[in-house]
Amino acid sequence: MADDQTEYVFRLYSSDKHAKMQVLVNDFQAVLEKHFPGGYHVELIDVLSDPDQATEDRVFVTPTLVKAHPEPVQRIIGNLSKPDEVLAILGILTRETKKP
Amino acid sequence: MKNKRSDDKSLGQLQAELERLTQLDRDWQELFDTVGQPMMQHDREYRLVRMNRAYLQRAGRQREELIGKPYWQAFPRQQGPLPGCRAALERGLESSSEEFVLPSGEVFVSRSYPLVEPGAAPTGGIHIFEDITERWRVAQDLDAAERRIRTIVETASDGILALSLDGTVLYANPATATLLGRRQDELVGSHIGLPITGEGITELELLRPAQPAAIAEMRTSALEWGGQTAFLIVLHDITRRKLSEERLHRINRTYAVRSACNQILVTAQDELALFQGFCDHLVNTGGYRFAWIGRARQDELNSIEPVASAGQGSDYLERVQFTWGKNRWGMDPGGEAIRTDLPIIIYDIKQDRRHLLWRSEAVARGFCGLIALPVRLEQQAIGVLCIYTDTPEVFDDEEVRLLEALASDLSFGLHSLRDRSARAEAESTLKIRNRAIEASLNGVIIFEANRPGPPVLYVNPAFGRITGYSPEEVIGRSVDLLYGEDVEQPDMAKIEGAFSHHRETTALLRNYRKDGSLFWNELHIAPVRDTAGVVTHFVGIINDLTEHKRYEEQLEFQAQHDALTGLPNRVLMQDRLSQAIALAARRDRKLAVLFLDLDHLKDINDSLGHATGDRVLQETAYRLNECARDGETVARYGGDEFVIILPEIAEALEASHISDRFLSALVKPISVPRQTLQVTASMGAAIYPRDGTEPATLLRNADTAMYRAKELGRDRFQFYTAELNLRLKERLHMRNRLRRAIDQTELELHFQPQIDMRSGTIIGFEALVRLRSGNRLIYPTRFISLAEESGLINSLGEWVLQVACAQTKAWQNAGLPQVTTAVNLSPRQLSDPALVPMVERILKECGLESRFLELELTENSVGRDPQAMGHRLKALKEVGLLLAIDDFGTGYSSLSYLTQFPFDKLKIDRSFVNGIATNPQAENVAASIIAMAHTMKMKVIAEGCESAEQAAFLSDHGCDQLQGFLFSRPVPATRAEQFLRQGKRMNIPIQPG
Repeated sequence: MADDQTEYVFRLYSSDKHAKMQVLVNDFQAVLEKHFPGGYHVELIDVLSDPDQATEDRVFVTPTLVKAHPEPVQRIIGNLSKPDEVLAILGILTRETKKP
Repeated sequence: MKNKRSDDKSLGQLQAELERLTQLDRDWQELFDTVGQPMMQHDREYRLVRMNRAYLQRAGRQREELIGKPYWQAFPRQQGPLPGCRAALERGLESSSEEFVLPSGEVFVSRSYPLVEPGAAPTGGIHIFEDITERWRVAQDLDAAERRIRTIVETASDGILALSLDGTVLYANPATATLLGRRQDELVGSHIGLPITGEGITELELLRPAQPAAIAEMRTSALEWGGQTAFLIVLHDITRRKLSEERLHRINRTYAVRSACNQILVTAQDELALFQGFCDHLVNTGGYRFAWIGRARQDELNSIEPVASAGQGSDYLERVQFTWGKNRWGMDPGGEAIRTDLPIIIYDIKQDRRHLLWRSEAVARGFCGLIALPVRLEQQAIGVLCIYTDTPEVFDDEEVRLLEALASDLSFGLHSLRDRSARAEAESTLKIRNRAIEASLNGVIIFEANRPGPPVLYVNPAFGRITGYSPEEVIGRSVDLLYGEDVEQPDMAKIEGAFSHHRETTALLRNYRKDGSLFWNELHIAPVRDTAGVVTHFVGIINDLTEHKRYEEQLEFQAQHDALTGLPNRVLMQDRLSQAIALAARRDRKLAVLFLDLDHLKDINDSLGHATGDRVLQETAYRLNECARDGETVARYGGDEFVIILPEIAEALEASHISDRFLSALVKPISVPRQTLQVTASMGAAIYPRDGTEPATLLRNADTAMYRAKELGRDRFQFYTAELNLRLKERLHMRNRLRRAIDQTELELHFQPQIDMRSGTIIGFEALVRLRSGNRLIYPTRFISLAEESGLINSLGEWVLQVACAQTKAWQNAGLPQVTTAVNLSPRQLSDPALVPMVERILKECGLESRFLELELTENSVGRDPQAMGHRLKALKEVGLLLAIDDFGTGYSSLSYLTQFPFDKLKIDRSFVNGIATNPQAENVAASIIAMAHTMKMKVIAEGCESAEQAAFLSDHGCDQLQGFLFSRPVPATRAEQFLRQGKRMNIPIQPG
């Protein structure tokens, strides 16, 4: 989980049987690392092996990306394959944003 | 026209007023009529007072018809006034409005305005009708559309949601509730999240409490919701499609596994490779998470020993103890599968309550579903194939069926591997046996049963060595091949019985090799039965007893033969002699026993040693045996004595002649080490029956004769009977005479004329040899056989031929009529290869044309060896001379037999000619011979013609020539010459009658 230094905390809920989501996590981390080096945490949660966590977090669908920190908590569902776009929708990056 | 209060006014005024009112009324009416909507005015009683054109059109009537009628009889037609109209009139309302529907479906609004005078009751009302059908319909449609949309949304199978821009649910239809496993009101206000669909559609998994996740396609679009922008989300459930896709995929993979595993079935060399191959393919090709195969052990624990595995989680096998016993450890699915011999399927291990012991270990390794399939060998579960999935609920019927088939394949593979190794063992045993059969010294034959013959299917190499037949020459044929024509054998029935009754037998047979040689075959025949007990083949073992037989024969031979010389010994000789006597007695023939004793053998033994003596005995024995003819027996009697048995001799003196053959065989010196020896022998003969009828007597007398020969000076021959010796002496004398006669021309040639039956003239002579003894002539009958025996015949024959040809030529030279001279050839002469060159030489020396020489042969001389004689005669014919067959009718040959030889002339034997006029049968024969000879283009001459009757008969039957005393005896050449010179001829008699 996130420690105090962590600027952004994401949880990616997945029910993917294969390694696709881990690849996506890696992609997110790569983008975040570019913009916020060290200041992020991306957690992959397998809802099949950890269904209780999903219920607790009121995750209804997978994939769901939850920006758990900072407030406000935001969720994105659906096609998360483009981290840049997703982060832009969340308002973390602007579409034109390069490295701050 | 309602104003009737003007009676106080002047007429003019009234007139004007009336006109104004009429005008007003007209204006009103015009105004009314210009309005497009139907209008009418009715009185208090609802009777029509006024109506416009549109109303009349609607009512479909004329104004005049309607005035004063209640409006409901015109428009709208109904029972009584419109309810609103009536209410307005009765209650004094300002107006009323109401809708009504015509039977046509048209909808109208009627607005009615009561006509009211202040303080008084309404006097009537005015109605304005408006057709609102269209408007009404639109309103109706809008209403229905809204309801419809609501229904669609509410009943749609797709989930439909409205989300606010922060992802909060504003609306969710019931399908959404079902898809997400929550109530609609639970969902509204929930924070689902901002939807991103990327290229239009994205796939989501919908998580629902206590249910498997659903899979949905999500579409999004913008929506105005309560003045705000919102997301409209549509979720389309594709769970089933996904599952069936996945299932199809999995089944395809399972098929791929099966086909890959089938390869393993073919290639696996051992069970471990087979098991490992199956596991590898299940994981690598089939995509299963883990697979393992365990073998059921028959130990105390009934443990299952994992023998192969593949995939993630192989340490599972180390952590879990598997058994198939019915105890608490045996409660694992693999054990259960073995125990029950049924496939055990667990769709979701996490939900499984039955196999608690191993569940956590399985879950920890990501195993979700499991199928455990028994592996069978000979109908019995001997192991288990366990396959794990990483998703639950994957085993449907199709996949289970496939995996069961796979387990059967594995069972089959196991079976065929074991079978294969068993077969390999059997094959190697078979190979050894084959090798044994191939290498066997006994001939082995395999016959195909149940086919006539039965035909040979196989023979081993020894068969070829024994019989000389190659497999190709024998296979397919019956064993009869080995019998040849020797089918009358005692054990033949045994063989036939073995084949026909499927029995085992051993038979001793005389069989024949390819080269015709005999071998003794101890043939053992045994039927071969198949598993059903049906005889399919016979095996025959040939035991070549020839060696054995030969040994037996050797023993027998040794018992009956002399060891030194190999000749029959005294025992066998006496046996043969007894047989020969019996035979001669039966046939009334003579036989001779010759006793031969080597001269001076004792001296050789004494001076040169016994080895040399033995060598002489062996060589003597060899030579004697070599010159023995068929039927003659040469035996060693003992010491230096030999006995020769001559069966069936024609006359006693023949024995003397034959003894010459044996004695002359000893003339050639015998080679012994360092020198050659000339040996001689003395010989005595006893003749059956003259000198005895018992073997012992004959032998003793022969021995006596032999001693006499020794006394007379050795190297000679003696008969036992003095008279025979005398005759022998005479004969020797005769031979010497003959030899001298030939040398000293004491021979004379006489000529007997041959007469042409048509002209009666001499056309030739038969030359006949005579031996002159002083004034006496000796005829050939006395010396020809002697000449033949002694070999003088060739010299004699040559002399005759020489003289005959020379004489004939001399007559020709003397200008006498040309005649043919016939010369007799003895059988021995004919068989002499030097004959043809000799004839050619003599003809040439004499200068005689060959056509004037005729050679006469007896039937018997060609009958001996027809083929060789045929060649000889042909060669003689090629020289150009004439050939005549002599003494025809006395031999055994038929005329047709003679056609194969090139004879020109046939001489009827004198015995038939003699019978003419006295013996009708002889006449018949003579006549037939003449007729048949003519059909074969041969001339016919009759010899021995002595009477005119005979000549007449012959002439009458077409005989060409004759010779005989009737015309002339044989005469010396000078006399014959006279005949020719005189032109002597015969008057051919005519047959009387």
